[in-house]
Amino acid sequence: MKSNGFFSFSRFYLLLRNDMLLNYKKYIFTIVGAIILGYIILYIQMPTRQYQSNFGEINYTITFTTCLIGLGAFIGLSFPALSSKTTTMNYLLMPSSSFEKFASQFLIRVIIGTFMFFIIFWLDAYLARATALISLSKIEHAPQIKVFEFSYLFTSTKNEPLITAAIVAFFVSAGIFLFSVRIFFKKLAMIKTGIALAALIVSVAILVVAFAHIFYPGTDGMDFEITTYKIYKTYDNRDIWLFSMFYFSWIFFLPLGYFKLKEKQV
Amino acid sequence: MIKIKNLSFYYKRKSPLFNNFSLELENGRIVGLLGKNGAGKSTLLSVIAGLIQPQSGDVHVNSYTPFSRNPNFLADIYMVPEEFSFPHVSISTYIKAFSPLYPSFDHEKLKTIFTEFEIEPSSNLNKLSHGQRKKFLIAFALATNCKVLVLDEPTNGLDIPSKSQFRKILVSSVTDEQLILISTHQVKDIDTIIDKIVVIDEGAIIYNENVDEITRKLYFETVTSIQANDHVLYSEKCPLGYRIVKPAINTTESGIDLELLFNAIINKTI
Repeated sequence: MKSNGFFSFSRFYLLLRNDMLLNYKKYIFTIVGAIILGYIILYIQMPTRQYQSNFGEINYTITFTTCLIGLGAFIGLSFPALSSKTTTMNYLLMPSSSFEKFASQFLIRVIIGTFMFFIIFWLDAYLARATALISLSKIEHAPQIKVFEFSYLFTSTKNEPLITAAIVAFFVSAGIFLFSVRIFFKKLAMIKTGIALAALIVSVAILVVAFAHIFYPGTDGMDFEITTYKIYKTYDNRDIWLFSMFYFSWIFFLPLGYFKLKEKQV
Repeated sequence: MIKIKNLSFYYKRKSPLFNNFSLELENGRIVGLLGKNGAGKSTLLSVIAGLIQPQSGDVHVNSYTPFSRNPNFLADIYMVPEEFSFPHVSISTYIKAFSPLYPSFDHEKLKTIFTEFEIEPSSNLNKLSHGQRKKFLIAFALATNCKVLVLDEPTNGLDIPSKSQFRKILVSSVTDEQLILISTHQVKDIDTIIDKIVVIDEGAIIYNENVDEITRKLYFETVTSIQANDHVLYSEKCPLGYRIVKPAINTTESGIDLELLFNAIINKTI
């Protein structure tokens, strides 16, 4: 029986089932590894002796941002089948559409991966605090460790919704970049994707410098001149330009990855 | 059914491999695709399977354009490549993971082939020898019941008993609705099972004939010496004298010596 060539729920389910049957051990090890590593990272930063500083919003935010590298690595390792010619061949010949293949990896690596990351970090934050408090309970005037809340991550920007949204959008766009651009490479894809990201940033910087030299002839070396003007509240055109880059670049990266997968050849 | 019309294909920075290449193959056949190294056999199989996109031309397999990789097309074509790899799972897990993706998958047929090939379903795929893994892949391919099976060097790595098992299993499990395309250098392994021969050289078809037509036209035999009036088209020395191919005029049909036929075609004596 012929079914929809673009998307079918039954095929999508079979594809996810296939991935789970083949990789469930890898996922379990990744989750266990992430729990242990996250716990260690949090615990070694928490105070366990007298006269150490309190542990609060800023500390949680810095640790959370550091741990995001792990999530980035998990997302950057998407489409593991594309790492060699033989596995690429098997993957491309699997009876499911390119969209289903793309969506299944997106669901597993980006959606579920991010969801699990949040749960693991929350769990580790509670576990690390509980363990650290055991040591602190024997000390007089012990430093304080706040109970983790996700709202801490936005403490410094809570009165600036545009900046808060831009920070979130930056991480979303970076994640989608790691997810999609990985499809362009075979071996060492994550490293190459990182290099591509660096090259992209450098290219944008060079472009800005080049424009500065064209439109402001007096510009020196790698300096760049730009006319700034207020656009909205306290935000000038440079802020809005940066925000726009963060807000919308994922819209470009996502189809880029899909079409690259669709056109992938062996 | 495979329909290729005016196919042009070249790899980057290389001279064209196929230029205006056309081929039509109907279902219900086991086709031997032969050619020298670098003739483009594997590339042609990859085009048919939808793994690479030709620069121009029309390619239709079961009425689909292969490179679109429509899931309905992929569910009806199975390719056994020359080089392959498996995930680190047991045979039974692999079957559980992949067989539901093929709507016509026949588990009973797979069991029968496993028994013939002496494959143990509980074994870990990556702990098997290359030949055993190849046998598993062939068994899985046949059990999918796909309309088009593409086998690239299927007998490479198989031991002698496995090669005859392969022939037996292939002939017994193929239906009239299927088209089996076998590319191989080991022509002796398939000479008794194919019913059509396609030879490609330098990106063009230089021979395309049904086996019954070949046996009607040509006669293969081994002789101690060659006489001037033997009308030999091509001969090769062998320990018993000469293996010859000559026109089949007023003689009974002979079996096909595929290696001799291939060499005769390549040497343009046929």
